[in-house]
Amino acid sequence: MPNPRYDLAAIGSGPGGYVAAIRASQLKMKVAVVERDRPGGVCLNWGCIPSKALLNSAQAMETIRGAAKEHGIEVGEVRFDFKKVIARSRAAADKLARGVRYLLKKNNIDFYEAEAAVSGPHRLTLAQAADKPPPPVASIESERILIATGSGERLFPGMKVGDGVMTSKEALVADRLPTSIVVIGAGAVGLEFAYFYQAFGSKVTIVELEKQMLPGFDAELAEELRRAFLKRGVTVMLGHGYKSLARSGDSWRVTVDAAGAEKTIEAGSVLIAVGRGPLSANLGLEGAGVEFERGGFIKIDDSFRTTCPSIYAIGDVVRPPLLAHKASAEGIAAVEIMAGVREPGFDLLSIAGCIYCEPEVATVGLTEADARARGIEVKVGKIPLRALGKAVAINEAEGFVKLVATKQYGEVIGCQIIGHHATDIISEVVLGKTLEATTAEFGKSVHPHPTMSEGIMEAALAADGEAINF
Amino acid sequence: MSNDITMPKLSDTMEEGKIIRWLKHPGDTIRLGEVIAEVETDKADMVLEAFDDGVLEQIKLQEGETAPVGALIATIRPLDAAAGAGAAPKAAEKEPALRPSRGRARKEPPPAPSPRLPSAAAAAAEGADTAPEFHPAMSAIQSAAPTAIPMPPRRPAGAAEPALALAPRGGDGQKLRASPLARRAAEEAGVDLSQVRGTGPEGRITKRDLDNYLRQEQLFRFRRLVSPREGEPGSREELSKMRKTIALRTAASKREIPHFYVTTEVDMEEAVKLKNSLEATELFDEEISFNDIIVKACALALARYPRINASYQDEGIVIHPHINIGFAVAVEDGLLIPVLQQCERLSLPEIARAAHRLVAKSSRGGFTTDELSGATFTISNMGMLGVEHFAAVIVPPQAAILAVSAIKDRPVVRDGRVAVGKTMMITLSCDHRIVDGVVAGRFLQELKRFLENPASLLV
Repeated sequence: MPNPRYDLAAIGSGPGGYVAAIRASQLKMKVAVVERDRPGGVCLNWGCIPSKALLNSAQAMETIRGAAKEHGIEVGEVRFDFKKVIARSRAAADKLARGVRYLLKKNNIDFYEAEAAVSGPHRLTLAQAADKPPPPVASIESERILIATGSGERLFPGMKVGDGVMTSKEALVADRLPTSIVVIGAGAVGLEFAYFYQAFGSKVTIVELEKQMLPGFDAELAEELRRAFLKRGVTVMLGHGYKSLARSGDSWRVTVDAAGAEKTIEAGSVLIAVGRGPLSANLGLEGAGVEFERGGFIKIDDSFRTTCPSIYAIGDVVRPPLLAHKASAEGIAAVEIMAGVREPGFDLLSIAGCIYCEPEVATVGLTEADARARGIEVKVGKIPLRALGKAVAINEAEGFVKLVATKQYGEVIGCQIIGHHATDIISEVVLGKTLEATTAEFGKSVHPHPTMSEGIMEAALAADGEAINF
Repeated sequence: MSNDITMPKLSDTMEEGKIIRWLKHPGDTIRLGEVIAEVETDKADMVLEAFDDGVLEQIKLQEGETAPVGALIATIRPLDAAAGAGAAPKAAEKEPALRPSRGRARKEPPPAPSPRLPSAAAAAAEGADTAPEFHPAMSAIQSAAPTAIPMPPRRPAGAAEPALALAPRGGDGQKLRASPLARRAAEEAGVDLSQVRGTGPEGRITKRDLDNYLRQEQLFRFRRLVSPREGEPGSREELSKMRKTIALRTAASKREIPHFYVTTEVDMEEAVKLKNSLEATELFDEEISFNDIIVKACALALARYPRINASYQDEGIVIHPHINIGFAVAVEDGLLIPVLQQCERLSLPEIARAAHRLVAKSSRGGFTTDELSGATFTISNMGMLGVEHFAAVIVPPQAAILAVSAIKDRPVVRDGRVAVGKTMMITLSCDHRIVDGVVAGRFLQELKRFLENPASLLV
């Protein structure tokens, strides 16, 4: 039997790969997707979706344990079944993974469960993947190949996962609540799990090498978040570098270092959240002439084309930020560029980053410091959420909205929000940025009252020195 | 019978106009809104747009000829009329088929030298071969940067070419789609958005479209610079104000300042890499040009050799407190030297940003006084003209001027072997009353060191 032939074959069925495949099918391409694990990739199975389910449980817990009293609600002894908390999260992931399988089928996309490797500019070799049946064919041919293999958890050299040492992947299925846990790394993943475990009563310590939480984010925002975590009883150790990890009886001893002074922290579990790295190795890319950037990211041009003209790459495997919606958007862009219905280029500065602990964090574009470093003169409007009627009424007044605009025209080039529902209201700024709106449009569009979104309007007015409620 | 096209009154004070160029020729079909000619007036060069569809029948006023307002300059006939046959009555009733370009020939005083039509218009009118006539590098009037002007955005295969991409939109009952940012920026730049081609949904104009338009406009001007229309053999040219100023100052400089010249070759391999990597990473909003890199390097070198940042006076040598670097920019009838004030305080991206703004103003006008005065050192860059080597005339009362030539592939010796390197010749002209050979030589070595180790420019 001759090898099946396609217009486009994607490796990876995460939010990058499956979305690109569907868009390609809509554009009349014959498409195959190869996946070695479950359809949906990290996002659906080991990332965004199951972790949001857990965080939703944590918020419920926080409300019942903490805020209920302020509402005048008497709650008796609060008990929980942690196994059910984890099970609900897995059920959400399973449901969506089945959804992806259905969507691929509906769009006439051939789905191969196999390990794929590039064995030529137009050929993928398929090998049997772990826990899967052997693939129906040994290789497939395709006019173009799309690498959408995503990223994996990073570990420090010498670290081993297991026996209470986890990455986010293990933590998502660990159905025993740790009594105490050290979270190494104060990035998005570390903070979300720290919040989750804290809400269920674990003793949580966060260790971060940098001097602020969320390195690279706006410093004021990071400080606001640190205070919110302290208020919730989390121990936050900034400027502490990880040195070593050792078993000590029933617990783990984590040795950290702050400017030469060593400290040890003991805890039952350790969560390693020191970032993610691209999964670009062992795909046979070198043989096809594909080049790499530092850190193993695949080198692409502004059409998402690698240094091998028939091979494209998108998502976590090409560049940060490592975000599901960025991968989907890049996948769509790449396929549309291939089809000639879109011009090359992609605006990374309009990709919002969201963190779903409480208070939530949502940012897009440049921070004030970024802008100044680029030589852009800016004006900044900042509104604390306690100035908003809605925030006070619903008892969620921590946090602020900060809007960064160019001094010259008031073009909104960045926004940082920390607070309740931050991740839902940021989209207004993303849309405004895409439409090249200025502070005038944000400030003069009438926002409904009372809502959290009024914070964005007031921040825009504040940038021009015209805030009404602050 | 045909329709007469007469010389329009394009400004309050205009009495006559000269045809710079016909963009349409007899027999060409003219569409409403299309630019058909360029006219030089007392204020500025303007473009004429067709007011109706038709066919250009006869040109009555040739290129380079002048005629009073109201004089017949060409005739057109309606599209449906046979050549030379009687007029179509429908067209005869209409207004003369010409009108000044909207927004350019308005009654209010135009904002300084009025911009010309976008090069795209000219290119389209002249035929496709003219568009890439010059390497994009040459469009960067301000610098030797082989980057500054990208070609117009590529149209995706299959997308239909709009029939009248350049026809003005907006005032004709059609809604002009433009982002708020583009509107603001256009207002400030004095650009009529109806001239700009939008690439967004439904032709919506974004800031990038406007930026492209402004760059193309510059490209167009530059093309005119290198194929000047002036200089008819046997003719006499009147001195413009700018010409007179240049004549006075350069003559005074050569008369009073004892010039001497020092030249060195700079290895630009690393600077080229730096520029490319800055572009690739899009770390800065502004594109960094070679000119910006050279300005930054000069600022650093001048800080170490303040004697070069000085002026000669009979009472003594004045060492200036700030490093204000002027850079020569070619304009239509001469050159301007906009000044980057206090370069010692500016980072590379800040220099790029300020320089790009000044260059944009060079073609549009609107300089403030301190943007054109107070220079303590000047750079003249002819790199984009492929110049091998030249020496510049000092701008009094400065102590020196740096002449920058093109970056070229030249044989260089590395580790005892001949290799192909990218090098650039720079020549410093010095006022011998202030500076002696040793200082000039050392300064040049210092400048060379910064340019050959350009990471230092980012600190």
